[in-house]
Amino acid sequence: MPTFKVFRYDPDKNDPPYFQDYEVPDHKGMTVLEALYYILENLDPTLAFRSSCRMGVCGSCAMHIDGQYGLACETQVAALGNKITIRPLAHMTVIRDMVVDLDPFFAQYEAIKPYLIPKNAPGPREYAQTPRERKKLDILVDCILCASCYGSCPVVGTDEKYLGPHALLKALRFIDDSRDGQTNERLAFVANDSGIFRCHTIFNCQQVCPKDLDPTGAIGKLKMKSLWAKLTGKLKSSG
Amino acid sequence: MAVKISSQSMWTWMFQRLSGLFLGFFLVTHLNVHHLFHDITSAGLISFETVRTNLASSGFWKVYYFLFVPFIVFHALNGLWAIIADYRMPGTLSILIKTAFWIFAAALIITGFFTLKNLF
Repeated sequence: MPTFKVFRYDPDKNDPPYFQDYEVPDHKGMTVLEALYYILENLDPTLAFRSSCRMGVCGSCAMHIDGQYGLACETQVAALGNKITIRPLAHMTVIRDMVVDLDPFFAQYEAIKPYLIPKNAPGPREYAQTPRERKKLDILVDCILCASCYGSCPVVGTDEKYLGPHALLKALRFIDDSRDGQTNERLAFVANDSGIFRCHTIFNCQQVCPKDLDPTGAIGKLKMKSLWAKLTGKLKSSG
Repeated sequence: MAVKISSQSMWTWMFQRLSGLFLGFFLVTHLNVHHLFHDITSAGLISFETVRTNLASSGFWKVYYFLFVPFIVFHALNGLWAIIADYRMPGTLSILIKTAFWIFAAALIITGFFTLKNLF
């Protein structure tokens, strides 16, 4: 029977954060999320955590599980040891237990304008795209915004203005979209002092992504694209 | 129409890589020429005079080592600044550290150039 060492914090009490142990009877195929629900329903109804789809699609249950960021609903208890430490995502204010304030995460996401800004005004038909043009986006569109990459990124932890791997991956998704008309504006935005050049290429974001996406690679591509745009005169120094 | 961009981080990022490539090339060439083709260390010939004669044998080495000094100073201090910049600090402290880096870099380059001038 594995013991879950769970991070606890209640802002309504004056107690500092602490860890609480729970013994959870496991079974074949049990996920960490199931274990947390077991604790909530049988051992401690005050435990707080986010979850929704239970199938790795919504990204709500991202947390720090035994030394690795990931989705609780996709992490098998059997793959971990007998003592499993659960913490909330890092770099964000803890609201309660595993629930963190995601406002800065989404503020940075919104800052890169995560929507299509077409080259031309809408016409009578949809914006056409060839299968080849669409294929370029395959590796970029699957982000579920779980914030695992954000929690694992040490630059996010030290520089609150850094855009973060999630926003930069999404920026490339629109820069690489043949229908988008704001390529240079987007490149200029992400190539600022709090953008792509703050990334140290540590690969944490790539390692923890539950969807096997490659934010580090996306940031690398953005660096090369912005450099090329600068060298070809599409970006001009602001002084 | 060209879009405006604050490009300082872009240039430092690019020159960090270019200087890294140069330093890698420099090390390989230096080791090959001075230790494999003309092994002055194991032959017991290492002295200020032998190194000076060896380096002064061609103008190529002069250019090579005069380029080496600013490249390695830039690469080292820019790398150090990239680490320091990870820590949040007030604007004045940041300016102070940057100024200290510039002074330190200038001192290192001047010292390096004077040393090389005596060597050649």
